[in-house]
Amino acid sequence: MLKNRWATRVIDMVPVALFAIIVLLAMQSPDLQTPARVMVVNAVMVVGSYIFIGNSGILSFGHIGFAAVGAYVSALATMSPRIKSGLLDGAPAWLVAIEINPALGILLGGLGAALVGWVVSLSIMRLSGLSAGIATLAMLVMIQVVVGNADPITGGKNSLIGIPGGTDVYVPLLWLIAICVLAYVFQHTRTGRRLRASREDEVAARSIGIKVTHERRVSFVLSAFAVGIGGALYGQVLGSINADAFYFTLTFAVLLMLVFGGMNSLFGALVGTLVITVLGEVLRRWERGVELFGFMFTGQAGIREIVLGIAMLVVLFLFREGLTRGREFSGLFKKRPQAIRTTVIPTAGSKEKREPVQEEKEAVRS
Amino acid sequence: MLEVDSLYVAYGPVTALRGVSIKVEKGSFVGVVGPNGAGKSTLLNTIAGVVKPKSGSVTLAGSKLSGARAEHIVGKHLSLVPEGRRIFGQMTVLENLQLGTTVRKDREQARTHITEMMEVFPILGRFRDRRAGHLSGGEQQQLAIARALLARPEYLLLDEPSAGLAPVIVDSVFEVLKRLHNEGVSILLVEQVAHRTVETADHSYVLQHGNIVARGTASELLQGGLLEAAYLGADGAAPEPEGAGQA
Ligand SMILES: Nc1ncnc2c1ncn2[C@@H]1O[C@H](COP(=O)(O)OP(=O)(O)OP(=O)(O)O)[C@@H](O)[C@H]1O
Ligand SMILES: [Mg+2]
Repeated sequence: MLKNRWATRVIDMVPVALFAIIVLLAMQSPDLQTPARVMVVNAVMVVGSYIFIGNSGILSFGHIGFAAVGAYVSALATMSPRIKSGLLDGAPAWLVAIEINPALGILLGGLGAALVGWVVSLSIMRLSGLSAGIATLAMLVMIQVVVGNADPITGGKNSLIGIPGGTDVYVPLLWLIAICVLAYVFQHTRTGRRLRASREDEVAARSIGIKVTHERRVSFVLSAFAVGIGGALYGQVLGSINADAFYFTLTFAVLLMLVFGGMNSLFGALVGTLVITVLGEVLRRWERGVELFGFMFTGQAGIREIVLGIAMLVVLFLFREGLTRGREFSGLFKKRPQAIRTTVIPTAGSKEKREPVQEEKEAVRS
Repeated sequence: MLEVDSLYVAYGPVTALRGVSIKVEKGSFVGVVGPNGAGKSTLLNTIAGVVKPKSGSVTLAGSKLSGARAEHIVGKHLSLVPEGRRIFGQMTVLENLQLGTTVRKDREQARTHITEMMEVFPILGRFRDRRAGHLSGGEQQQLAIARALLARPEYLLLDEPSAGLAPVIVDSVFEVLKRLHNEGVSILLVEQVAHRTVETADHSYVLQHGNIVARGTASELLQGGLLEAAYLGADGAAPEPEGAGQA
């Protein structure tokens, strides 16, 4: 039994390893290096959002706000004073002077996002369902407005450039693996399980003593931390950031990946990121024009959004729970009992002794 | 003692309870019967803190419960098996049982208690790693009861545990309740299976349109014809035919 459980856990980590291998293979082709790095960063944000959305069942539209916090905190802490004094007019002296190691900067970005998440959670987590979702949207807008207008600190509408950190893929990849392990371990902790119970039935969860608000807050802060890490990585991978980068476009891209793969499992988060990134990249190239057999094919501009939208609808139509149908990787190898079933009504006479064995029951049911 | 005093509950313009008072002595088995829409679920949900009353009070062993939230009440020795079972269908049977111990501090004992529960309800032991949603209705009902018991309640509230079950399964649900009662758990059972409930309970109340219209022991309620009167008076629906609840 115990051995079995460990086997399940190891198998569930296989998609993380496969994802990393695909990224490393893509890095071999100069043409694919940037999309591969961006995909890793996106995956961190998708898995980070999954920690809250997947476990609590509350759709948050605000998590990219945490990416913004992470990105700005990390960028400002790691950029050289020379560049900062050039970009930021009237910044406090300590902010200009500070210059920490990029690796530490990522962690600091995550912690900054977690702090903001904690403050926000004080009010938002009291709400439930749709109103909580709308409140998270308000949070996104608020963070956007603050970042876009705090000129002396963030540079306002202008980009922050010269963010150090380098272009290698290993740092983002290691963070992705760490965040995946965090997400997976979390969903098996007591808090994770209670949260998943409340996702299924909030009233039932409360009536067995689950403090739903508290459990949600824990996952919200953890999730903010992970998405903050994603934001920090985003800055380091691209070398520059601006406030508009962390708004609706990225929010919908990340949610699309999560919902497409299936927002109820880590496997779903990774599959969604991979499929949408590959599909998006193919369509992007098509829009620019591809040559096949001597002919030039050029897609209509905007075809990418349309095809991605249609793909999303098809997946949701075919599998309500996304491509992975809410299962972890190990779930692919387990037989799914049938959903439709008939109830066996034993006759009165057979009551005392007849306890059908499992196989027998299954046979009757199918 | 669990005491409900002049409870008024309304859902917007709909008044569901109009001054209901009941008592459940420690160690007793109390039944509440009544037709559809009488307010039975509302009564239990209000006691368990899921629904807030407009006025009136709920006290347990002298301390006030009304006003507290559901997740805090269950820690106070009271737990509810809600209408429609409401187990966590995506989770395994074992996970459902583990969640039942949420309010307990004694982790070790709670774990032994889960093992014991799987002996009391063998079907749960056999299907411990199955998704709870794939159990049959009767099996799910056993799971819901076991889950509620794992909070170690002194008072167990059950909302129509026999609904939708085959007669033989209803028998076994009632057997389980009787056994729990003998073990000292105080029970407040809400049912539509009126005769059966009244006969099993020490004392019962008949609820109709949000009012208690009759109360008493089985013989008092059955001999006086109070039970039939209550049901007929409600909306012409007769109590379930004789024998439906009996084995
Ligand atoms: N959430 C709600 N919103 C509005 N009205 C409600 C709500 N819940 C119950 N009611 C109304 O309150 C009254 C009592 O409902 P309640 O569920 O307590 O009845 P019940 O005795 O449990 O019925 P049943 O035997 O069908 O379960 C009914 O008229 C019902 O329509
Ligand atoms: Mg009811």
